[in-house]
Amino acid sequence: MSAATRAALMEAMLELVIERGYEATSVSDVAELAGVAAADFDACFASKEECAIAVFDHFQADFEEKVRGAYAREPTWPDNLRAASYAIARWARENPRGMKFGTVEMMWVSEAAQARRVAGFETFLGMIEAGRAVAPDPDAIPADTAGRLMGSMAEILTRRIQGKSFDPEGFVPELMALIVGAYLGEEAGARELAIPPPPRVEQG
Amino acid sequence: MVVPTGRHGLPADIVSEHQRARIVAATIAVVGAEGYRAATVDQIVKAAKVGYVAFYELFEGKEDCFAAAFERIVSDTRAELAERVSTELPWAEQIGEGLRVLVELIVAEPERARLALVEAQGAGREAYRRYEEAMDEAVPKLAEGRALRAKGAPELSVATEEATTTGVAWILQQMLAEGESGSPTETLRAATRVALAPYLGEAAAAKVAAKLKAR
Repeated sequence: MSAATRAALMEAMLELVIERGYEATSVSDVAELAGVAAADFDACFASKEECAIAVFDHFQADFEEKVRGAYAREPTWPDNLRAASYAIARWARENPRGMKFGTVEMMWVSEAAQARRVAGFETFLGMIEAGRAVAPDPDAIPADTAGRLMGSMAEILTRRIQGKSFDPEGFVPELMALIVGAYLGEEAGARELAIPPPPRVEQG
Repeated sequence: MVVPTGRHGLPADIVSEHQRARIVAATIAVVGAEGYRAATVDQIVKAAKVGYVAFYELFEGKEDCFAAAFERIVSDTRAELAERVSTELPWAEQIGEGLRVLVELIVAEPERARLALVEAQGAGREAYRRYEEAMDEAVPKLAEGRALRAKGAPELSVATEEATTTGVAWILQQMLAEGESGSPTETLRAATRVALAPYLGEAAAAKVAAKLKAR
């Protein structure tokens, strides 16, 4: 079993799940699209589910690296959260299938996959909760605010990613307004709506 | 009226209405106990005390009877809200009363709440779509709050109402997860603050919330 075979199978799984959903995708479909024998699938993955989760883990690793990197480059909150949000939008633009797979399709793979997906969102809880340290009145902010906002963001994004024409970058100010408003007040939230996106730097 | 199981001389449509109701009740119980994925038509049929033929005359399979159970719970909830929340009340009080009805329904019937709030999200594409649609029903009522804001008030995100429906759902899901150790009144007040704060400000929202108590 070679790395190339494993990669081909993961690519085929991704393609088919996006096209027809996980339920309607069979191991033999995946092997056929990858151009390998079903036995090669079995050599790489213990199950259909394991292959799907491998696809998710692969994307999640890249996604986290890019988003954390953007967050780390800004010294203060909410500038760092905003940078992370635009990094998410950019990643979604550059990896539309990965975004759809991780956000939407993983919900219907298995319970373990659902847990993985939720854990993927929760890695960013700290970036939201960092607002408490710069809030004018931290004690007035309920303890579960970050969890609730993260839950809302996940659902709001899931809904939009299912649609045909979602512009993640255009939506960042709307989401920033909600999060910043919760920690710094409604005026600070409203200011987010007017902040233009960063200039697009295309990596050559 | 409870239709006895077994053969009887009642009209076919009455029988199938009651079988449908038993299957919906059984779906709620079985999904509550096993979760959607592990639940089987076999378990549902046994719990409902109907025959397989009767089941498949009414439903195509697990997904179908789950959808019926979800729709049943949503329509019952809608009816409770319509009955118990007077539209004569000021808007903020309507929101608080509505949330009180929801919290009390969860306390009274946690299995139904779990199916509608938790299981529906993991029961497939169609179920999730229905879940989203049900949550969207609250948006117009919430959005009435926008008209109450002072002129020159800071602009609101377009996703404000969605943040409220999803945020309140999250709070209610936490309450379900906490079970016995949760506090319905605390949940109600937290949910009310979330719903009202974008339109009334934190202080006014907290004031309305503090007056609420879940039975």
